[in-house]
Amino acid sequence: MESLPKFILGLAACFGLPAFCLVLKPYADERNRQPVPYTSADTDPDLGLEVDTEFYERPDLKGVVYPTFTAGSKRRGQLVYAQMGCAQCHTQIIRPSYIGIDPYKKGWGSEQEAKGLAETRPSTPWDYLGEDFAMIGQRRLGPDLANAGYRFKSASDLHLMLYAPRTIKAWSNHPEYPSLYETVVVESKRRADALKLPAKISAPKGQQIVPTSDAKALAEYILGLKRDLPLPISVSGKTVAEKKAAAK
Amino acid sequence: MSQEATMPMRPNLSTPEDVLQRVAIDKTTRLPVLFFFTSATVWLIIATVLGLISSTKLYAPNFLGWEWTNYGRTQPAFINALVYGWAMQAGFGVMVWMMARLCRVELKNPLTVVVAGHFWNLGVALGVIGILGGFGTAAKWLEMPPIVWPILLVAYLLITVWLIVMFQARRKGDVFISQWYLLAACFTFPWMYLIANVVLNTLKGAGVMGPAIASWYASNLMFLWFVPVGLGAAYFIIPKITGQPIHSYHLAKLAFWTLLGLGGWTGMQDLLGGPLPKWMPAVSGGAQILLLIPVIMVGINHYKTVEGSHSLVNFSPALRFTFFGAIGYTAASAVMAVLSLSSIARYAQFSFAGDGAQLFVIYMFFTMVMFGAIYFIVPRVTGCEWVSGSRIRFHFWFSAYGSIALGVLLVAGGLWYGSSVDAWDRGYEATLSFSQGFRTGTTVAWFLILLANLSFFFHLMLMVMNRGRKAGAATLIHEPAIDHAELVITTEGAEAA
Repeated sequence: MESLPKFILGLAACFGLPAFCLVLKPYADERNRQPVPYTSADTDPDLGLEVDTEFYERPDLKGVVYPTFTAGSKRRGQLVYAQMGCAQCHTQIIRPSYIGIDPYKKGWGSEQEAKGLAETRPSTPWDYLGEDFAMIGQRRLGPDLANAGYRFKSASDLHLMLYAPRTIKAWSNHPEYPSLYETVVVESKRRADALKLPAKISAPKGQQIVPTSDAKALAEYILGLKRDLPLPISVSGKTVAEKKAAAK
Repeated sequence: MSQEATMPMRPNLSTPEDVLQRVAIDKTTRLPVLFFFTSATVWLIIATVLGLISSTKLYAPNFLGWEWTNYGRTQPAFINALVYGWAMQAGFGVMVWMMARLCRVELKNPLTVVVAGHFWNLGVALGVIGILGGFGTAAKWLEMPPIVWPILLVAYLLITVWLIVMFQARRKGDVFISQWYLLAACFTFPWMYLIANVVLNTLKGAGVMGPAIASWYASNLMFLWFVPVGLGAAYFIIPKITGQPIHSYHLAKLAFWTLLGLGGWTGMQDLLGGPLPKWMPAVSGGAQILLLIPVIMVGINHYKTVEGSHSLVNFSPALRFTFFGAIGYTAASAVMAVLSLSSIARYAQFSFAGDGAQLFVIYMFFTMVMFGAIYFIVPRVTGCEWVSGSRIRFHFWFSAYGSIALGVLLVAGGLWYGSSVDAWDRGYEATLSFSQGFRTGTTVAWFLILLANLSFFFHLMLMVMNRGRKAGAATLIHEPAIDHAELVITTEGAEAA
């Protein structure tokens, strides 16, 4: 390695191989990922417990693809989510049970109450399809939000969490985001989306606190986080025969 | 470690011509080197304050009140200020000075380097203010608003191109291992930074690969930039001060290529169990563990080079900081390897244990080595000696205790916190109160580090403003005992005198 060109060649080989294998090729594959249609195999009653037949028989799901939503409609909300730094403390990932308790953690699936060993489905790449950057998150200093859409009963609950978190839970260390809300004068009557706050912190008489368009986009995004659709067989990778064998 | 320890004397082998040449070289690098060191230290203070705020926000969410001080903004602002503002910039100063000295050529365009340095600072300032102002992204260590990266990349290229020019113009003779390390760092950063930013900010649509690529980038920056620059500096400082050649040059070269060959594969273990092909986190975790091989090689080499001169650690500020940093490198790599094991990652992943491991690399290793190099370099480029040995001692002990406390609290507390999250029916109230002690502890550790860095900043300012000691021997941490008063470390201190 006594000459510069040879040295650069060595470096390029050291660096190029992992860059191609770990970054460029998987990225290209991810760009080519397509939604997967549910097929008749997904509703095969012989599959027994592994298929939620009630789900597939819903008329609104006939002939749809997985995932059912597109990331595009949620893009603005996701941008606000990123800019506010939500991903610093909140993850959006259900790890499989071999690496963590996530599928069984109370409140992290569609089921909000503990119900024994009902498993929340671990995340798949399709759950983040079309997103510019999957908000898997850096830390879990707050609860996981992969299925947060089930947790909040309404947008106003969520707005309260963002505006005055400690009115919900006194021990919460959730930050406040006053910039996402504005104080406006009550005209003829209170706006439907005005925050219902305790007297101590509510707006002065004749005024109300309402979410900005950013806050609404963020709320729409978070309320849409429901990543527990059953997987089509073509995604779970198991043929009907294999599933039957596994069930036995 | 007593003050009475004998300080071995080393013969000064330099000829008068050598000394004159060094003075001439140092004259050309003076401006950029001092520029990088002072602006880096300002960023270090900013980063420390942001780190103090973000650690406090976790248990006192209404502390300071302003929305821009929320954890979600101060935490990424802190890490970006620390990485790009302080660490990389201090690295630039060391790289420029060391490359010029080792190639024995003068820096031809100090002004270009300084102008590029201003652009770098502009980029970091835009980035940090952008994050605090709510324009950041979610990508690890790339949280700066997307407009910033071209500024940083161009500034980086304009700084490092002169290192390559100097390398090509070097005087004939063997190339020293530090030169290879510094040269490697010149190339690795633009590659990884360009790939990560083009994919995440320009092409977009990375989906689940987005966070994986960001983690890969952050880990690459640690092992293919911070480690090479830090080791390059350590390989220079340790033999210089002990007056002994590197124990095994062959081993040093082998460690170099092992590091370069493995470093690029690390990072994706952050997403262990995530929705990626399973081999990717597995390969990264494996590479992380294999990286212990170059760590052992470098450790043996450094230890053997200091052997017989250990007492010098009591006296030489540069050697003491560098030696601490070299141990920090071993500790950091061990912690990173342990956290990559899947049975541990279960608790470490997504907790603040990862932050602790990163601070082991950036602070206990890299920052301490940079401090050592700055204590070595600044007297040479300013022509005056550090004002006070006790101030250096204060800086060392507060930095050492602060960074050890911070790293250990974050890693141990993170594992504890992670185990609490991993209990299926435990609510967040219990988990929060569970980890309260660790969080409070990190604030105290940050406070120690802040005191150390403020003291260092004022000391450096005195040197830059030409208020250092003009005459006499090098400033040592402890003055040698009377019996050894005639002994001086000949390689320490300004050679211009």
